[in-house]
Amino acid sequence: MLIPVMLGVIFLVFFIISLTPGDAASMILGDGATEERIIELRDDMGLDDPLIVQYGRYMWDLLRGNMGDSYSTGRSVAGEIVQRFPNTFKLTVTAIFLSVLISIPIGVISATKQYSLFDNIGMILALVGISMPSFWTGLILIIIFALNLGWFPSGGMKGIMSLVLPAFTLAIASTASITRTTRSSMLEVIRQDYINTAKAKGVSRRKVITRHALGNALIPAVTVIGLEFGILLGGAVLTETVFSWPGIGRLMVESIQRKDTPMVLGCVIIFSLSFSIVNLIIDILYAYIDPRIKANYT
Amino acid sequence: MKDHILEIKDLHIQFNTDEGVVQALNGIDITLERGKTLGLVGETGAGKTTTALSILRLVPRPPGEVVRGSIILDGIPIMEQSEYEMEKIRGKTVSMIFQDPMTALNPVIKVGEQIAEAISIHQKLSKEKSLAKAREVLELVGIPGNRMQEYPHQFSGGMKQRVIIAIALSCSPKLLIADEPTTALDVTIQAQVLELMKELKQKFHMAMVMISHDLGVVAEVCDDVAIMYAGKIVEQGSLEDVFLRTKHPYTEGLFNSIPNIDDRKAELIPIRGLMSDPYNLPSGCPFFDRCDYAMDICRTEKPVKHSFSDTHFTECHLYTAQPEFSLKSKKTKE
Repeated sequence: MLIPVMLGVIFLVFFIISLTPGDAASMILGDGATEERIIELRDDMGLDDPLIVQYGRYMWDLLRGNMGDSYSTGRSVAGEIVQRFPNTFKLTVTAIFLSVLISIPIGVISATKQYSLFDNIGMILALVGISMPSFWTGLILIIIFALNLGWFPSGGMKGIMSLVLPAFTLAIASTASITRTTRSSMLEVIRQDYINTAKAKGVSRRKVITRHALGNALIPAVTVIGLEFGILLGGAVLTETVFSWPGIGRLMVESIQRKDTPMVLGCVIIFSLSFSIVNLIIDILYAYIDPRIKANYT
Repeated sequence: MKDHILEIKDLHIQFNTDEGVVQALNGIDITLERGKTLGLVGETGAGKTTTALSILRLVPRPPGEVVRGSIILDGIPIMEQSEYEMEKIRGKTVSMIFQDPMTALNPVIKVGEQIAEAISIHQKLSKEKSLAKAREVLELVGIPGNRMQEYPHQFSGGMKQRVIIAIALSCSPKLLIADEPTTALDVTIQAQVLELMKELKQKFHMAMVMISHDLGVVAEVCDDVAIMYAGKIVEQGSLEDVFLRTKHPYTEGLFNSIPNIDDRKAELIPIRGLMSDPYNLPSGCPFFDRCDYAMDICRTEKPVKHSFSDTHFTECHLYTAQPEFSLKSKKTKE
């Protein structure tokens, strides 16, 4: 599953970038370059070859583990990504951790007290959260907490404090959708017969929820958490730019602006690779949460 | 005064829904002696399950609401207990078997642990001891102890029902409520499960409330029978009273709609019409528009209890006017 997805992604991105206007050679050389220099460089880089030949060359290099060098800085793409990836990873993992920590309890309480004040407020907040684009949330958080209150830095990556705002920005939207999923699957589960069986055994209210209901309600929630992780990686592109966070997302935006094809492709490969790996992990996790799924594979 | 395990008096329960108020139970009276079995019979929607759930105080609230009435279980007034006290009663004094074994077990917890859970709650045993006891109970219902580690999806329907029975019996309750325990099983398995239940009931000297719409099942296991219709008990008595000296037209209708093994050519006579709309029960007898014996008074006035003996009574206007009235012989229709 992983390999065909990656191949498809690389194919699409390669051709989309190639079709965008702008010339890599003249961008590398800058405004003062002579016509001859540009033509010479284009020839060197093979930019005049048919697209399909360029694609073949790129894939051949990639197959041998060579992602090429950045057009703009000349440094190796792989090196740059290895250097930046931990930053993005730190940000998204913190964000997903935060949103799971917030959303699961809220979802559970909302479901057990359906239509209560808590539930209504929670669901309105979730609707608001899901409707705010992350770049906007980021700017608002900067205005309130960095500019006005001065509690956290507005950008950059210096210590744990600078992680707070971008992580919250990323977490807000996914918190909203994980909360809603947890709530709706809890609502479904607490109407099941086995919940009545548990109550009839004399299991306490709290344990009925935590042990009997949550175990079943988490199955759909885990799916959404996995998907959200992928969306967070994508959301990180905007959030990292807003907070000048030195991660892959910002690197990609900068590379697109410079038409730095190998760098953009490198970033995209890393995004889709981590997305696929997260999905794989989620699939494995299922087997631990739901014994019925394990039974299908053994 | 006899020693009763269960006394329900004048129980009224309604469900307040968006569409209106459903009067689910309209004055239920049940008394059950220790060690006896009561069959609760009626069609879908008659209030059988609500009655059962109310004994464990598990009627979902909201929308359910107990309007009035009292339930005394083993000397304990159920309506006055705190939720915490109820948790100690459920599973220990009274336990319940639910209708559909396919959905009544938690799919993500091993069956052994599901049985052991009840034991550890009520007998305050360690995890190991509870599991060891759970194993015994599982073997008691005829499942090898080594299947403790398996999950419900690895069991067949009949096996699941045995596991559910094991859970219900794990703390030797004084009263077992079985809500159509065999309806979802196929016929051969039904007989096995019923046999098992009878055997275990003897062994633990439990009282039992058996909910069913299958009169065959009721005849098999029950001492007393109560026929429910639209949230009321319309006829109650010993098995012989109800089966042989049927008094209420609805009970007669139920008998007429099951096949007769002695006369296989006999036509089945279904009860015509549908149960009255529970949102809008008629002011008179709720069975009025389906009854072959209906009189004018039935339309306007609710029937009152008419006793034939200490144990046998019915709620029907026919006997207030003519105490000697007898229903037409079975299997006839004008």
